[in-house]
Formats: sequence, structure tokens, C-alpha cells
Amino acid sequence: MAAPAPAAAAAFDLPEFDERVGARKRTGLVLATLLFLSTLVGVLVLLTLMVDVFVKGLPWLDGQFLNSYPSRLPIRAGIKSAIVGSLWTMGLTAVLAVPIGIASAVFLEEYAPRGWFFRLIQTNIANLAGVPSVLYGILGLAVFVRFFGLGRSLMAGSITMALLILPVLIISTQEALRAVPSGLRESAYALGATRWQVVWSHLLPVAAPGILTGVILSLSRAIGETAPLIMIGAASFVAFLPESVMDSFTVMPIQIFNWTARPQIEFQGLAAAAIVVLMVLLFAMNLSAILLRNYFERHRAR
Amino acid sequence: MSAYRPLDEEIRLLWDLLVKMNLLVDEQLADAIDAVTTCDLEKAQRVRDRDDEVDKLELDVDHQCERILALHTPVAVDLRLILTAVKLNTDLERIGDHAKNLAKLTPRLEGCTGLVGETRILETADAARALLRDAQDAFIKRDRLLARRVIAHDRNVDALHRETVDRLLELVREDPEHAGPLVHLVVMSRAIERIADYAVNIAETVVFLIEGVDIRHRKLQRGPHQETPAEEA
Amino acid sequence: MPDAPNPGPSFGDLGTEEAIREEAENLQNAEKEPEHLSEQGRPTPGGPPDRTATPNPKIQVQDVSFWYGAKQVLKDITMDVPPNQVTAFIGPSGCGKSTLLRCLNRMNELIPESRLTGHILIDGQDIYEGADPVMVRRRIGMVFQKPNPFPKSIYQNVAWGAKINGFKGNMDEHVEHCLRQAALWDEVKDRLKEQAYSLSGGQQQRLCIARTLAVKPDVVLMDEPASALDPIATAKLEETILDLKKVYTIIIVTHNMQQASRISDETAFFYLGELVELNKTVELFTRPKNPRTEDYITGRFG
Repeated sequence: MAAPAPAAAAAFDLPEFDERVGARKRTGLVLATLLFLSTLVGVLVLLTLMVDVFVKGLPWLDGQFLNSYPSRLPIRAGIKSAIVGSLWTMGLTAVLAVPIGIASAVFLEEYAPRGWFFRLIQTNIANLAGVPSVLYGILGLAVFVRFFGLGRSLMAGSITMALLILPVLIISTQEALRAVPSGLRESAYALGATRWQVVWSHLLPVAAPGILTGVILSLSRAIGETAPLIMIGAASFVAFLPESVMDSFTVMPIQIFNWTARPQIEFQGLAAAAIVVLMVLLFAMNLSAILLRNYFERHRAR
Repeated sequence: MSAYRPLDEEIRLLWDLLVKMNLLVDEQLADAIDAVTTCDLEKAQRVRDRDDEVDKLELDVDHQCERILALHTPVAVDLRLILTAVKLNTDLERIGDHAKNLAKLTPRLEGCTGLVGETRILETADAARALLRDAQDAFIKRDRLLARRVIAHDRNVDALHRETVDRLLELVREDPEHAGPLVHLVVMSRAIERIADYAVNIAETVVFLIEGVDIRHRKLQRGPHQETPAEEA
Repeated sequence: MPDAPNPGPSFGDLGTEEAIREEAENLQNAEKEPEHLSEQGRPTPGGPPDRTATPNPKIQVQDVSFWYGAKQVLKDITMDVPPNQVTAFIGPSGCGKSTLLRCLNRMNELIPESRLTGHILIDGQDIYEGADPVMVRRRIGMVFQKPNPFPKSIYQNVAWGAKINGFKGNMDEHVEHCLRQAALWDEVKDRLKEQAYSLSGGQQQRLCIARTLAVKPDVVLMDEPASALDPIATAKLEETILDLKKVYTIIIVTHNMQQASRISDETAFFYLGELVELNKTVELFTRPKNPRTEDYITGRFG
């Protein structure tokens, strides 16, 4: 946009104001550029990592890779057990964490009487969300693997992961419930509905997109966690598929970790390939989250 | 705790107009009575000329009321003031007309001032003027007790008027030559009695303004939902 | 010689005795302190904002006081609401009129740390002691300030309330009946399955009314229902209210005094948590008993 001709600018001038429009715009431009560069840094780093991984991993990515068990020979190694283990773990974790998380959030947000006890619980949940994941691993090891005698099984691992993502799930669900406009709540109550009817018919459906987003983000985190499962004892050389929840298992992050620890360069490539697979999986999960949320919002027309 | 209201300025304008009209009409009445008493033809003519001013004020008051009603939708005491203003200006304008009529008839009394003295017409006139002044005072000072007293004293003027007319009838029989002026005097007495009635109207309107109570036509108002009088039925 | 001209009615057609009686009573009335004075000699405020007791009041409020936490918002309110009429609550912001309204259907209970003393009765039955709020709210419905239909179809909006209260009967007919009562049927009969949000503001508000009517209340409370609507929608709403009062008892809180004077039969004026005056609307707007009422309705309040 060209600077206005002096005559035109004079038409807008007022003696009390030293507008200095040019200088202000320049400052704005400088700052906007800084913001852009910051973003660029993040994007560039990400791109570099992805390109590196893709370049190293794509040669190793083929059907055989996806369909084989790990092996001492790079040429025959694959991530079949890891993928299956990851999927199992994620599935079980979801089945355990999602109902409990949503139910807890609904209780805390809609039913619990506000008071010191309530505040205590809320604070603790917030704190638990920040606890390092390895501590959950230690907890899982002591309580589920040893005390309850579940062994190094899928069950123990899933319960531990469920506990890990539970705080975040509860908090994000609570936020989604809080975001429901109060007018909706009030008008539902005013019709003589019980609390449960209000929650089931109105609050949950309206909060569903937000809740779903929270669920999928939590699960995305779960699929990438390594430390707690290592503590649980998910093995790194699993040459079979788990048949039941009590079987031992492995997951992709552990397999990746294991391969990167090997000195042979082929294993680095295998690890890179596995990372690619993991990223595709994560991408697919996030995409489904977005699609589901869009579907719900369209269905609601608001 | 009064907030500024644009309505207050409009009401102030209206009030000034009403006060002006009251004073003018009172002067007109005083001048007309003087003219009759002393057969002052100049004064009489002045009264007739100034009636235009009264009429103009009537129009001004009406316009101001219309304006306030349309733009401000007044309620309660403000609304009553507007209603009062509309009634008042009609009553005042009629009083002005009657004063003008007195002035118009003055020339017909030329040479008959003696006759005027034979009747109680001047007393009637003074009583009517006193009633009018009291009613106007009651309005300007918002004195409801004074207004109620005006209503009570209307009886006096009626009595005086009756006496005057009786006397005039006598005089007509005694002195048929002067029948013309005597008849005019009857008409004048009637006009004065009407003026007193309008003064009472004004007083009733003032009671309405201050108390919010409509005390006209008491017979009709004595229903179960109306203001019941203090006395037992 | 012509007779004296006809003296006319001012010649005392009342007769002497009656004239004397009139004069006496006139002076007597002059001495008696009138009920109402404006600007001079005001009666001291206080004392009950009386009105002769209503026969068969629909709602009775008895010595109700209300606290939000430590702050007292309503002070000893006592009033009766007659059936099949529109009663308006007016008063400046923060005077408690909306609070009282929400006490009438126990909506204030949803707010923590609130407390109510006194009694509120509908048809002689206490709505607090020994009564279930869910059932109270079915009988005493509420329409809110901002139109807030549910994010469902138009049909579902009306039907939901009836359904959760166990409506046994032809739902289609019932929905139609309610929409007709709310003067909305003709405008939506061809698009009942459409989302409620596709309606205009005024239509949405009437939909909220239809939804409230669907649970067959006795009383409909309205909290500034027209404040979000343009003048034409407001006029339509007022017309609807005047129709509804034949069947229901309506209490409306409004900031708009002209609206109160247009559509209500009785008006209650509140100030700083107290009921200052309750009177027939025409009386309150022409001859208010209390000088504070007069100050408010003539706009002299700061």
C-alpha cells in the first residue's frame, strides 16, 4: 500500500496528535517478522528431523518389515509384534482410562459439592498430570506387576498407562464440560430435568467434541511413552504376538529404543523405519480426532 | 438523588407558559372589571386586543404538551401535569373570552354607571376574581388545601349572581327605558358567574395534580371502585 | 320585557341540602391526609406495600429473604400473585427482582452458597419444604433472557422436556399444540426437523416458550424475555404473552417500564432487595403510592 500523498495525509492530521504512522507500522513489521522467524525455526527443526528419519528409514520400509518379528539379523527384522503390542496397549488403555476419566470429570464438574475436599482432589489431579511418566512405571511395577501378580503383561502395562493419562483426560473433559454455555444447563433444569438427564441429554453431547479431542490427544501421548513400559518390563525381544492380556508384549517406542541402542548401522535404519510407522500412526489418530470433531460440530450446526 | 432528565427542561418550558397565561388572564379580568366599573372604553379596548395573546398562549401550551407526550411518554406526576396543563389552558382561555365579552359590552353601558351600583354585580366580580386568584395561587404554589377551599367558596358567587339577576329583573320592571343596558348587565353577571365556575375547575384540576385524586362530578364517582368520601353513606 | 336568561345548571340543581353536604365533605376531605402526595408532604416510606388480599392467589411469597453467601439480596418479601394474570417485576439493576424470580422455581439452588428463608407456596403448597425441585420446576417453567434453544431440531426442542417427564400421549400433536400456543407453528410447521439455531432471535425465543409449555406448567416465569429482541419481535412476543395469560399465570421481569405498563395487570416495584410497592399496573403508573416508585418510573433515579 503506497503511502498517501502529503496533501491527502494533511486532511487527516490533527495538531494534538503526533501520529507517526510510518514508524508504528515499521515497528509492527519488525515484530511480525520476528514471530514468523520463530515459527520458522520450529517448523524447520521438525522438517529436518522428519526428512532425516524418512531418508534413513524408507529403504527399510516394506511389507516384510511390517510383517516380521524382531531378529538379530537386520535383514529379517520387523516390527510386527511391536505394532500389534502398541495397538493392544492403546486399546486396553483406552478401554480402561476413557470411561473412568469421563465419569470422574462428570462427577467432579456436575455432582461434587464444592468445598475443601473438592479442592483437595482437584489440586491433586492437576499435580498428578505433571508427574514424570517413569514414576508411573515404578508404581506399575510395584503394584501391578509384583503385588497383584499380573506379571509383565499387557494388563499391567495398560493399567499403568491408563493411570498415566487419566489426570490429563479428567482435566480436559472438565474443561470441555465447563465450556458448555450455562444457558443450556439452566434451561434444561428449568424444564424439570434431573441432573443425570441434563448431563446425558445435553452436556455430554455438546461437550463431546472437546472430550473427544482430549481423549485422542491423551492416547497419542500414551502410544509414544517408553519409560513406564520399560519399568513394567515390556520386553524388547518379543518374537510372538500376545494372545491374551496376560501375555508379555512389546511396544513400538521400546522397539525403536532397543534398535537405536545397537551399534550396527542397519539397526539405525530399522529404527528410522519404525519411527516413520509410528509417526504415520500418530498422524492417523490426530486426523481421526479432527474429522470426528468436525462431524460432531457440523451435526450440531454450531 | 434526581438524575438529569431532558423531560425536566420541557416541563420547565411548559410551566413558564402556564404561569404566564395565568398572570395574563388575571390581568385581563382585573382590567375588564375596572372597565365596567368606571366605564373606561380605552381599557375595554385593550382587553379585547390582548385576548389574542391569551389565544396564542393556549396554542403554545397545547403544542408543548403534545411534544412532551409524544417524545417522553410521561407517567405518574409528570403525566398529571400534562393533563393539568391541557385542562388549565382551556379553562383559562374561556375565562379570557368571558373577560373579553365583559369588555365588549362595556360601551353598551355608557351613561349607566349608576345602574351598575344598584346591583351587587361588582361584588360578584370581585368574588369571582378572588376565586380565580386563589385557584391560580393554589396551582403555582401547589397548595391543595387552598384549592379545596376555592371549591367550597363557589357557593358565594352563585348566591351573589342570583341576587344580582333578581335585582336586575326588578330594575327592568321599574325602569323599562333602560331595559337594554340592564339586559347586558344580566349577561355580564352570567359571564362573571361562569368565570367563577372555571376557577373552580382549575382548583379541582390542581387537586388532581397534587393528590392524584379526581374530585369532579362526585355523584358519578361514588361507585364501589372509586374514591369514597369520608362520610358514611 | 324578556325574562332573565336561563340560568343553567350552575344555579344549584343539587338543591340546598346536598350542596351543604358536598361543601362539608369537601372541607373534611381537605383536612384528611391523602393517600398520596407528590413532591410536597410525602408520606414516610415503610409500611406494607398493601393491596387487599387476593382471593385464591396462585403463588404466595411469605417473608422470603435470600442470601448469596454473606450478602443479603432479598429482604422479607411478602406478596401474592393472582392466577391468569401477568404480573411484572420492575426495579433498577441489582434490586433483586431476577433473584426473586429464580427463587420461585428453585433455580437459585443450583448456585452454591445460597440460602433462602421464608416460604413460597403454589396453590397453597410449599415448594421448598417437602417438595422435589424437579417436580416444582415442571409446574413452574422459565424462559430466559437470551434465547437458548437446545442444539437439536425444532421438534426435539419441544419434545425433550415432555419426554423426560414421562409424557404419555401423542407427541406430534403435543408439539404442534405447544408451537401453536407460542405463535410459532405456522412459521416452522414445514421444517420441524431443522436445527433450532436456524431460526431468528424472536423465533428462537418463542421456541423456548413452546418448550416450556410442553411440560404443562401452571406458571411461566420470564426473565427479561424481550431484551435481546428487536421491536417487531418484541411486539410479537408481547402479543403471545397476552394470549398465554388466559391459560397460564405469568410473571415477567423487565427493565422496560413501557413493556410492563403495556402488558401487565399488576406490577411490583423492587428496590435494594425490598418490595416497595405492589399495585394494579394502571394505579402504579398514574398514582403510585410510594415516592420511591414515582421517582423510579419517572426516571428521576440516578
